[in-house]
Amino acid sequence: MTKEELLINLKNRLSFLSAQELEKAMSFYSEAVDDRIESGFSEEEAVADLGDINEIAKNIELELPITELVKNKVKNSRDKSDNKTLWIVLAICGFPLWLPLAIAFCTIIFAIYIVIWSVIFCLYAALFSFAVLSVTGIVAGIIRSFLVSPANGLMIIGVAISCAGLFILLIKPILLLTKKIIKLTALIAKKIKGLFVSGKEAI
Amino acid sequence: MDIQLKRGLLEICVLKALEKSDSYGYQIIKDISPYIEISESTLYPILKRLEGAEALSVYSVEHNGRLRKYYSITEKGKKRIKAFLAEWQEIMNVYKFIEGE
Repeated sequence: MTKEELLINLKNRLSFLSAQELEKAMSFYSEAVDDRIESGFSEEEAVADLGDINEIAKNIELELPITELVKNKVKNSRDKSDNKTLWIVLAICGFPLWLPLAIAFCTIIFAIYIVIWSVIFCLYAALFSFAVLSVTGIVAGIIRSFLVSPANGLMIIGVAISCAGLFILLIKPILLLTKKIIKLTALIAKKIKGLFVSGKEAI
Repeated sequence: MDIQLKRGLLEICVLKALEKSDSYGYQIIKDISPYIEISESTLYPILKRLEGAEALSVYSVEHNGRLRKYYSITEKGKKRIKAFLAEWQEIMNVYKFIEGE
């Protein structure tokens, strides 16, 4: 590539830059080529030594503040009539509007999850108490059968054993329910992210 | 190397290259290349950032019928170099510890 070709190439890729910024970039790289030619490189070698032109353009683009990049995307999108980029611009402009709404939305979702998990927690608490009941019940039952009467003690042991039974029965369903809720939470989180990411990904 | 880390190091290297005397793009690259990988595409944004941070200033000098941009370090820039050296003294101590006897 000749120096002319390099500069024209750069100019095309960086067309979205302001005239001032473009001129700065062009003179910087023009100087880079000239200095190398002075050091003994040929024009072709000098240009090649600068590296991949894509890298050059990309690094310049990356340095720009996001506002410039968005302007660029909007400009490009007008040619391609891309709705997504319009949404990005609107999103950035409407920031003070949608942020409180988004916060309210998130808070509600969060509250719903707290409720669901509280329910789960209660279920586990119940499960736990069944376990405790059955153990203490058996002990108490044995003691009562001596202190009060065998019938009394047996009754209590009976209740304790049914508690144990309930405990064993309920372990699996409750564990299953918890797993399902965890999966549901993950799914909903992904969907919510999806709403926002498609707006951000172009940037 | 971690990109952010490299960026930071390159900035200090550029400033150091300017500490002894004002310099221009290609010369800076020649000075730094033996120590760390650098090209114009990485140098350009760094020079812009340093200029924005007022760590260096720019002026033009005529050279062989064209204008060449020269960069000059500022007081802020010199302070940055000192801060870097102080910070990395600590890092070197940790390095020695990890390296062992």
